[in-house]
Amino acid sequence: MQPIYTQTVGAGGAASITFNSIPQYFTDLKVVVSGRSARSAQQADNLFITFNGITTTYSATGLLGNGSSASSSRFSSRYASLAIDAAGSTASTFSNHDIYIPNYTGSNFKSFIADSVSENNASNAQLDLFAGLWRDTAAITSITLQPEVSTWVQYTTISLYGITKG
Amino acid sequence: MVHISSYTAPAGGSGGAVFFNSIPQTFTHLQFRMSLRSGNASTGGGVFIPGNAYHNLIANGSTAAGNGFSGLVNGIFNTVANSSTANVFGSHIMDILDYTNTNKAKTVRLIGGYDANGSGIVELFSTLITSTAAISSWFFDVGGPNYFAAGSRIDLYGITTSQVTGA
Repeated sequence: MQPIYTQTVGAGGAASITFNSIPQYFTDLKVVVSGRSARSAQQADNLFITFNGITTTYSATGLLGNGSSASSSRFSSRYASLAIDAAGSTASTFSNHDIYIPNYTGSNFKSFIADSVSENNASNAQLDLFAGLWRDTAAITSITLQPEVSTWVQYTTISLYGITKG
Repeated sequence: MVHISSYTAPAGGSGGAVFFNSIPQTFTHLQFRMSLRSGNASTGGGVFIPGNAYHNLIANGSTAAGNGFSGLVNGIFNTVANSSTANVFGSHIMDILDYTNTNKAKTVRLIGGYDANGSGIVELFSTLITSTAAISSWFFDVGGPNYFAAGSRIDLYGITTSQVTGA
């Protein structure tokens, strides 16, 4: 697993983080997010994932926990439903996400999986297991991650790794 | 990903928590990879770790549930109880991101579970350490005088990131 890029949000926040010019010589990609949204009065915001700047042709299946129950949902947009800690959660708490994208240069549609947790020093917090699909055969050359409602706060860090088959 | 240190439970067991001390502060993230089983028949498979709140999404082959607890001193995830099928160990991977960042409370993510040929669980788990202090030590505890079964193993890795922005 080789580090490719890392971005850390500075003072003032950022609407989104994009990794451009992703090298095409790895087998798989992995994205690790330690993030928090500025969304006010809510425990969580939601994570948007966009490949190659294209915002359509996404779908996903999720298994979700909210601290008191479990449920499953399907989604039909780039809205990934990965919960990001927001201003209504415990101070200085950042959600923790792992997104794995196999065969990102292949000519099939692009599948990806995520396990994702937000936290909160209260009974409610959202955990997500997530299988996503981008119905496009293009190689992935850029990835954008952004909160649905608000912006990334300072100290949010997102890292991209490349994984090569043995 | 760089191996830092390991723990292997001895035959016969010994009481008390398993500690990882003097964790290097030179990585960006930490990852524990574990193969665990409780070694004492009097207890279940709960593994205590640092945490002031914890949440899980857990399924047992017939139902799925979500749970949340706060105002605590430990998070508790699930591994194989000693009363379960012999020779079965749980598999768990736990990630602690930005563990040296003093501007962040520490959110821990774990995915794990086991199948014991007739029972089993799969779990997504998180725990929150509200302190923003860098993490320099860690522990795993199956409770009081109990211990991990012989053959249980915990490996700690450090993960670096590139300084190139890629923006």
